Amino acid sequence: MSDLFVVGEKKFNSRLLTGSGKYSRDSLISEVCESSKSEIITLALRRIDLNNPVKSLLDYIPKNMQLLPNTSGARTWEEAVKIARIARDSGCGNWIKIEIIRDNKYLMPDGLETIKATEILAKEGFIVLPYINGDYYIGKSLENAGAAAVMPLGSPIGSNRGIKCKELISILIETIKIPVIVDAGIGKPSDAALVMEMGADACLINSAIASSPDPVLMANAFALAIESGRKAYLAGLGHVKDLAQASSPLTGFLYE
Amino acid sequence: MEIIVNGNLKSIEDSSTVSNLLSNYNLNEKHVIVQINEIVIPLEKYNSHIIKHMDKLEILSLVGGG
Repeated sequence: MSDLFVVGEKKFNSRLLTGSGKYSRDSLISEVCESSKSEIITLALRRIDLNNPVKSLLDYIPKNMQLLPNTSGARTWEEAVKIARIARDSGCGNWIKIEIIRDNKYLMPDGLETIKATEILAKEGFIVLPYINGDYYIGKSLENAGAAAVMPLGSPIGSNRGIKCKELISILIETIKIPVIVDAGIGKPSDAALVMEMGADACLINSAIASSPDPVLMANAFALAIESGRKAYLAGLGHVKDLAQASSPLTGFLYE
Repeated sequence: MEIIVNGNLKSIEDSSTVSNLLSNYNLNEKHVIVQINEIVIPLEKYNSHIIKHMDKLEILSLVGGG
């Protein structure tokens, strides 16, 4: 059965996007890419430490993967737009994950600044994937602004707390025509399976894989959970009932 | 002459190219992104682009992120 994930007019077999942050060693990234079968990976742009230069991250990312640079560190739409243009001009392609954050405690995305950045970058031909709170109006505005997908948070970044915003994500899935990629806070494969069963199009996982004692095995566990949740969604879940309903016939008992 | 690199003042020789500066820092040209006065300099121009007095340089790289 062909069930491709289409975003930004590109087609992918995998619905698991991975992040490249927080790994104990960079070489784990290529192993995680392989075991997760992920085809899209996020990365960040930073000033180099001139006293301690490191190897380029690109050396660890399989060449056929879609790069998704993020605008982390941006506090305003202007900064996000600048980071996106640098990423494009330096050869990272035209995909960008908008991340505009001014709150250092919960790392909540600023929806209004995100909409403004999306409007500008989508007009410049970027494939824009904004990180957002699961707000209906922000989702709609981003869809109208030309976003290629929306990325609502499950719970705060790096918290591994799971899907605390389930109802809000569910409304986005129901009402937004562009793909919904659940990002942030997914702590375990069952969290990912849950949102995929709900009809989310994909998940982005970083911390839960990178912080596992065995990131390579965990990446594969997430891939299986996402595939499982997706198949369950496509198959359709059975009805939920308050009372028991026997699965075996209630007639013809042996000792009646 | 003086330039600003990643927010810090630095003295370099006149007529230095981007390549000269990067080798000064022992940086691999392929591993960095160089922006001068907010314009990204293409890798193939590192050898020929002459840095000017009080240019503002940003030397960046791709790092892990979510």
